[in-house]
Amino acid sequence: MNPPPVHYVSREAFAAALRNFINDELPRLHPKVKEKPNVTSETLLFATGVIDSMAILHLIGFIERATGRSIPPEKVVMKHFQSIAAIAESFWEPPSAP
Amino acid sequence: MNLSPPTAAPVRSDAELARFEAIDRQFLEWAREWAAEEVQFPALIDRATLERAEYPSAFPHLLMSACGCVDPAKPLTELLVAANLTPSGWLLSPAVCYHVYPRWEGTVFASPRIATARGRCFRHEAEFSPGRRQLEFEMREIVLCGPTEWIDARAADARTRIEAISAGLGFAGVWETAMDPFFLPTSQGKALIQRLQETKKEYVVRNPTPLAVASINRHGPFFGERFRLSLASGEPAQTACIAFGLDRWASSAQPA
Repeated sequence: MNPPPVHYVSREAFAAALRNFINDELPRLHPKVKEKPNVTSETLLFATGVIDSMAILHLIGFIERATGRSIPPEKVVMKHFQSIAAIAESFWEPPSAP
Repeated sequence: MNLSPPTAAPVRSDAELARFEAIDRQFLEWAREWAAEEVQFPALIDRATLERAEYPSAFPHLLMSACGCVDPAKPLTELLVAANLTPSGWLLSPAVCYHVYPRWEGTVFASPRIATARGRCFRHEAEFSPGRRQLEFEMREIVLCGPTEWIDARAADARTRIEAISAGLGFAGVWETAMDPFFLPTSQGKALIQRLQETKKEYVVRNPTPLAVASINRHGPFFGERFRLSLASGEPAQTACIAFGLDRWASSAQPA
């Protein structure tokens, strides 16, 4: 069973979680990512080579777990993924009212 | 009753064949305008070449192998069973361009280079639909090697030329960002990167359902690194290929 999604209260909190995931967790999951890539919200994730063909799978997995939603194929375009800021802008949604 | 034996690809003759050749001639003339080297390659390709190109790991489900018989004296009922087949080391070419990179191996490109070839290609497709999806099909490719900006300019020109050729044949398509049908779950990331970076663009027509008749594939330094294709600067050369599924063009073209 998948763990329930984590509801980030703000876009900034979601972006911070993404930053931590890429800088701290991704190097452990995928050793080709250099140890602490030190990405910021504006770092171009593909142009700088931080995200490769294996890392993208981990990244998408993280986003889907964090949002509780699958990413539809039509949203897999560079404008939504080029940086942490772009990912947060595209995929974070406010938690629904109880 | 149709007594013709089954075929893995359409059989053409006379007017239909002439029409098919006329379609290919347009791509060939375009390649000649670009001063491409014209090459003819065999249908079989060395297994090691495809392995260096990482084709078997990306598309194992499409591979087709040429085999011989372990014991040719077996009775006919046992002759072609798996236990009596042995791989020859040769695979059936899944695309034309895989022959080009080893041909250029070790080259330092002082200026960009283009090659074109047409060949019969083979992919182990689950279904056979003439003019759409075939085990055996004919492909024309124009293969480019050079710096990024030069490839960008050629790719833009290619799009215009493909649209013009299809309009002349009475059909129109749209450009779509595509993903290759990578097989292994670990290769899904390659497909996602391909989609994100828009390295593969397909020209898709309605025939009557969507059908890709041409593709423009940018490889970046992938083949340059694997086949030692270098620029004068020492950097790996970038490559790209423009591929035309000739059977699909023939089935999409309106009758003259």
